[in-house]
Amino acid sequence: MARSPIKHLIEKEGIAALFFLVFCTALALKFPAGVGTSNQAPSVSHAVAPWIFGPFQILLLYLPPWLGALVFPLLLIAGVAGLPWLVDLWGVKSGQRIFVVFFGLIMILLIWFMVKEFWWT
Amino acid sequence: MKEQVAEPKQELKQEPKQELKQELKQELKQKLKQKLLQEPVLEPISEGRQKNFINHIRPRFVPGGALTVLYTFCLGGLSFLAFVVLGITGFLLMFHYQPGESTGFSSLLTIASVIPYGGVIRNLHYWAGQVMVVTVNLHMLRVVWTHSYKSPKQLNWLVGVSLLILVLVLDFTGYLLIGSQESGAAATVAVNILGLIPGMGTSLAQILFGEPTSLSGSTLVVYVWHCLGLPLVALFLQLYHFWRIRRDGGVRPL
Repeated sequence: MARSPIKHLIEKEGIAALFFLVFCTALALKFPAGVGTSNQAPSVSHAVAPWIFGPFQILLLYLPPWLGALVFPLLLIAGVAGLPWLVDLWGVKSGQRIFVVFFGLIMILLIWFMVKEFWWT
Repeated sequence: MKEQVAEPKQELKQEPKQELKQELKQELKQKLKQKLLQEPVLEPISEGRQKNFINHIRPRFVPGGALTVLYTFCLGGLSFLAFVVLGITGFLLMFHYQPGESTGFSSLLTIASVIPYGGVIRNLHYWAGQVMVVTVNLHMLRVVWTHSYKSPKQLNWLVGVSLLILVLVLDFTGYLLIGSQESGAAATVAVNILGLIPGMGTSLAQILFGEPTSLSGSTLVVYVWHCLGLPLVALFLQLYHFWRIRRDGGVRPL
């Protein structure tokens, strides 16, 4: 891998920070954050969760609440948190596989949510 | 005469020697340069700077390989930067935001459309929050991919997972503070989910969300958690996270 002529970490961090701030400002100027529906307006029939909680909405839609909203997320958190110890049990290479399964599951649920709420309707 | 004849011969012999010496010197220089690049790089930091707050966050010693941008992609640092941006913009928003069922949504509209630069500041707050969720997740992915969670870094991994959960909760409470009908629906779902926990569910919901209605999730309780309680815990955990990185031997390439 070719090495950058910038050797000091603080300089690289500064450049990354500058790009990040420009990116966030550009997003802020171009895409206004939504405000939703006023509570004075007539009731909305179907509320869509923010994209971050899309996987939750899908789980709640198809599974009983105790399973989809409590047991399943807790298992997921426990699995991710316990990764260093699971790797000790199942070997070094299993870490990436376990994480891919967890991460992949969330991504599938997120894509499912996106397709269902934003593309399908 | 003999001496005069001998001199040019000596010069002829010295010229190739000098060229050889120069070539050897250059080779040595290149080898030394390559070795230096592979060796850990010591950031030159004065004694005064070593003790200050910024250098508590930033590592004093950085292995050469870890300086490559493509190794860490600066994702942890960018997540912290997003947190700082969120702190500054959130502080500015606090001057005009009023939590409550009837006041939350209207004060948000005032910020977005009446207060000078209020809309931009709110948009920046929103987008920094969204980008932070992405960078935190990517940072986690990078940590897994480079096996940076293994011994002795298990505790720091747990701190990182806690921070991810905190970021998600902060995002959720921020969504509730919009005070829209959607936020009311989200608050109702969250309260009902917590109510499923036997014994302490209802009390926990009361502590975390107060009493939101189905038409607005904005309550004083959520506001205090979002602006003070959760960010303070997150800040402390982040500083501990950075300190643990140093304690566990720093960022190391594969």
